Amino acid sequence: MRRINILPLIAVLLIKVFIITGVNAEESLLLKAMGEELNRSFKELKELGEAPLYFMAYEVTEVTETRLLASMGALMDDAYNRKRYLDVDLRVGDFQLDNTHQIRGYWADDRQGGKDIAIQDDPSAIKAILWYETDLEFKQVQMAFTKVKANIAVKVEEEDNSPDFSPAPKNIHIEDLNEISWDRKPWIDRLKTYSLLFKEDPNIYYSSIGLTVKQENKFIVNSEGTRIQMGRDFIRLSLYGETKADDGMDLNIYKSFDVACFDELPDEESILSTIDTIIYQLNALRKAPVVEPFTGPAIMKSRAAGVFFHEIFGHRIEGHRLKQVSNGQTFKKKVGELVMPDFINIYDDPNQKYYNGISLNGHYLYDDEGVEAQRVDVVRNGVLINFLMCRTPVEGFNQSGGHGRRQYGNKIVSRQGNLFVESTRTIPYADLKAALIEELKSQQKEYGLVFEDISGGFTMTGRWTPQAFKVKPVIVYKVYADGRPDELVRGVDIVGTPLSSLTRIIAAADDYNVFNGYCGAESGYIPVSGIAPSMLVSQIEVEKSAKSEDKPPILNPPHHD
Amino acid sequence: MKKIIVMTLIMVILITGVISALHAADDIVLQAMRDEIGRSVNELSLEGYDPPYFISYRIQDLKQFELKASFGAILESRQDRSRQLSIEIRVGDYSFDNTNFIGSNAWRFSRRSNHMMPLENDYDAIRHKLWYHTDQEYKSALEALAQKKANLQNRIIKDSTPNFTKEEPFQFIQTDIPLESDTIYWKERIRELSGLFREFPEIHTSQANFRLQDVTKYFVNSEGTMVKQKAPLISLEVFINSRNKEGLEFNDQKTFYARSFSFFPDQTALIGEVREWALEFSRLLDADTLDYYVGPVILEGQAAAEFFYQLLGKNLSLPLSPLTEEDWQEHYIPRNYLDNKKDRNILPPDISVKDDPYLLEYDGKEVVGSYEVDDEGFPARVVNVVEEGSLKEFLSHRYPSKHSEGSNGHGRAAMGYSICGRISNLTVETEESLPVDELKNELIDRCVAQNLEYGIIIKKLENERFAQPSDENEIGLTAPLYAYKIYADDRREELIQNVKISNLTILILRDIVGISREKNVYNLISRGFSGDIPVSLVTPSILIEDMEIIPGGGKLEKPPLLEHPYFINE
Repeated sequence: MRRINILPLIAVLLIKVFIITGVNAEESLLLKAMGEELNRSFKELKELGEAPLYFMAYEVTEVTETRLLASMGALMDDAYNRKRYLDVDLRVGDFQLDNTHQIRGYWADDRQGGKDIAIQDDPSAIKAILWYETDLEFKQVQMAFTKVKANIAVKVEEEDNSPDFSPAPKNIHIEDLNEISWDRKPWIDRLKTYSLLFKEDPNIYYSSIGLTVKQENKFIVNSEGTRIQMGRDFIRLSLYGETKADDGMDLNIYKSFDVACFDELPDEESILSTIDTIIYQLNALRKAPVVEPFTGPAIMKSRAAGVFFHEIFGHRIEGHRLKQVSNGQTFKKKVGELVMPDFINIYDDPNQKYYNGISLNGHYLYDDEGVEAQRVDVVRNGVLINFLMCRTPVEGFNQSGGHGRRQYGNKIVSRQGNLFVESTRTIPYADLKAALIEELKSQQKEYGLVFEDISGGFTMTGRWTPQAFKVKPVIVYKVYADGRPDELVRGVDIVGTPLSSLTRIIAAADDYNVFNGYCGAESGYIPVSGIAPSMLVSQIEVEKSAKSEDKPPILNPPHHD
Repeated sequence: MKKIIVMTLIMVILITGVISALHAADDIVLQAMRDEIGRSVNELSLEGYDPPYFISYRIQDLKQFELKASFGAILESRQDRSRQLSIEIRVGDYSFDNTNFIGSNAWRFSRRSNHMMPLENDYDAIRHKLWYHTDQEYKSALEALAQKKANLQNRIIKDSTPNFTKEEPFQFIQTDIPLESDTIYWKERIRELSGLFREFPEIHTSQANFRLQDVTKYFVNSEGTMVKQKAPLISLEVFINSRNKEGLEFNDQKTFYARSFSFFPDQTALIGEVREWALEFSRLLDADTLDYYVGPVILEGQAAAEFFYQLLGKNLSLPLSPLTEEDWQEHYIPRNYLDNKKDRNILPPDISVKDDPYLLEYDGKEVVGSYEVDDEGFPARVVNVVEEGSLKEFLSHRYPSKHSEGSNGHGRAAMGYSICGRISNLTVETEESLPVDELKNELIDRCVAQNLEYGIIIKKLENERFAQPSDENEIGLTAPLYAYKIYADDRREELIQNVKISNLTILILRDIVGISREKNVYNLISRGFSGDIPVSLVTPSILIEDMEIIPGGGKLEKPPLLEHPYFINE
């Protein structure tokens, strides 16, 4: 039988503090209308419905986006859009047990909408939609709560008795929201010019240069008095080339630069040289041999290591997941234990805007629950000490750490922001490479691998699937023990399981670097970063990657005919 | 009263068919298409296999401006451009090729790959994309042909109809006049229109979606056909939703489609029309329903058009009869209820039906199904589909079958879909018609004769594109939305809600016993095997001898718990 524990809750409520930030900025008409309608609904709906409404939040995400894409010297895509999406979060019951409680035995649908709401600040039109969507959601959560109660009655007692929601301080943070100022026309010309570089090479079947300029403003109000109005700019320049090896394998390289303002984009010279590198690498990959499945020592270069940690470790310390009985809960009971070598520290800090002058994609000041972003130390000296938390408590972890995130249209869960992997012992990269060769010799291996870059990956955390991960490297070199030159190879994916992989890290270099990207999980696609040094692992496993069986094109490209 | 910025308007640019001398060579897109087809036909060949015997490229250039507004404010304002390519490659020969076969790649029977093309007239960039995708499509075509041959090795096939018709080259080049528009002007108009619903507390949600599509279609094939034609479309779709006190949900849409601004209603007319519709919708929420009715029914205006569209129009497409590898794959073949009715009477003998792609307007009202060349580059033809009640000809594309020797210029498809015969502007004609009032007299006379207290007039059927398909009758005719009882004694009309038509078969077309003199133009976006395309119907109101009407059912849910914030103080 579940008991509702009131005393500790009151204690927590008493120490609630007000935090008001933001200087001289003005609350928009949108935020004001959201606050007014929320107050009215909260007051009136509390009296209605079988289960009491105890928490309510509105979040509006305003996205203004321009998308440009050029290929072979011509524009391929040119789109502009401005939209606002509404998310309504209601909780009935109480902090201990509410409608969001997991229902064991079947899959609950977590999507909720991201409903269109007026982009013009007309309070009547805004409130009309808030009213209608709140009504739908209110009826939905009442039904959900009834199901939750029945599910608890018919299932065995849960292992984790932590509450469903934790109190959080009221935050008021109002920023002025300015549109990104930039000149579209010269950029179109630039993209077209850059894209011409690929045209020279008959082996590049498709290529593109893209620019996405996105402003994302968030407006959050909740029944605890939190009012957030904040904006972020996301600019992505992407370079892409695609070819095919004679055996049919599709080869592509995608390089992107995610920055917060135009000044941070690489200059023309380095863009052009990156394109040259892509062309060179694609041609080299076409001729590169395919690697056979292999286990042995390897180096993950810094950006690749960032992706590696994000996938195999980061997703397993996202707090809400440790509560779900369907989840693998790899690290739930490992707090206080050594989970990786003692020279590694890991923390996630969304407050950091830059690392070494590079914009961090995972930066934010407040999460989607209106909680202030916090640095969370997760691993100290190899020992697991904490999880990334949203306002959903997990046994022993009752407070949000400001990691409740979502893409509009999804329920909030805990996610990574900027994941920093640090080593207390570092050596220059050249020494790390030497250490790899030593390791090869001691393991009597002919060769090891160096993963220069990783395009992405995925990890499975459900209990019905193996707790495995797969990451897809793009540029991989064989390094020979006998001193033969390094050899570019293709056609492998890294596979493994988290617990054993993490313990096999032997050494780290001092060459920290940043990977910026977008991570997809239960709560949608969100911007994230990973910061890590290159790492040497004593054993890694690679398997053959899936490959197309189609032959390369029969005729030459028309302008090379 | 809101002010509309009329002065800044760059309006009314009519898109008319201008056939210039063949300046195709001046058109970079056509030139690139023609050159790459030429090279592919001559050189593209996998060792040991035949080169393609037919290639066609279809490119659709779209400049789109889209607006959404609700309750007096803009929800979305989007501008984008796209150019999409779809390729058809045939290997084998006209008598037997890779098409008309549903194998393991069953989706390919109804769908085509869409490829993104450069937005600019850059010869090299366009050819590069054509080259790459032609290569892929050629290889798929070879595999499809091999699959088809393998499948036929052990089967006895009696049908020796060829797979494709050979056609003479045809060229048609229209001058590129852009559909200019003033986005600020439209924003204000649509915003204002959406604000109209502030007069209607009964309506819970409303949204107006406006779209300007400036479309240029390019088509080139290896037989030498070359087409460039404009297909602009202006559309406004207004959606409303509510739930009455009993908890029954109501949805309705009002749509406006036009090919040119001059036919799009001005703001006063538009607001007037939408307001009148919203009033009728509001009345519907509180209307009575009925238990059961069988007897004569008048289908008026939109209801008659939707009736002809769903029962007749959708079944006029030339039936497809592909070979299938497995029996279950037959569900990929669109069902046609008129398949075995050629040269049989499907309508009363005084009714004839014609499909006319050249029709531009009727009685001062614009139709939107018009084109000069179809999506296979075949010149449009006027087709007398039904003559004196008898089905004479299906609307066809280049698909030889027992019903058709070849195309009659009705091969139409949205991008991403395979082409098939579709209606354009369908007109229903009759020699014996009555003024609407006399049609009502006829209805009353029949009611009296059958001892019925009232008859039924249906003024709107649910728009098939937005409605759930009906499970009440085999042919799936949508439910009446606005139906009226008309009493035999004093002819008063009484709105009824939530009813549906039951037990209907295609034979209901033969039960038309009266036709009005007045005709209604109904423009719509037709959903079908080959995707969404604009079509029009010009149809009279009709009297049906007997129809069965029953309560509609539906789930009852609580209406909103709180008052609409805008109407609190009223």
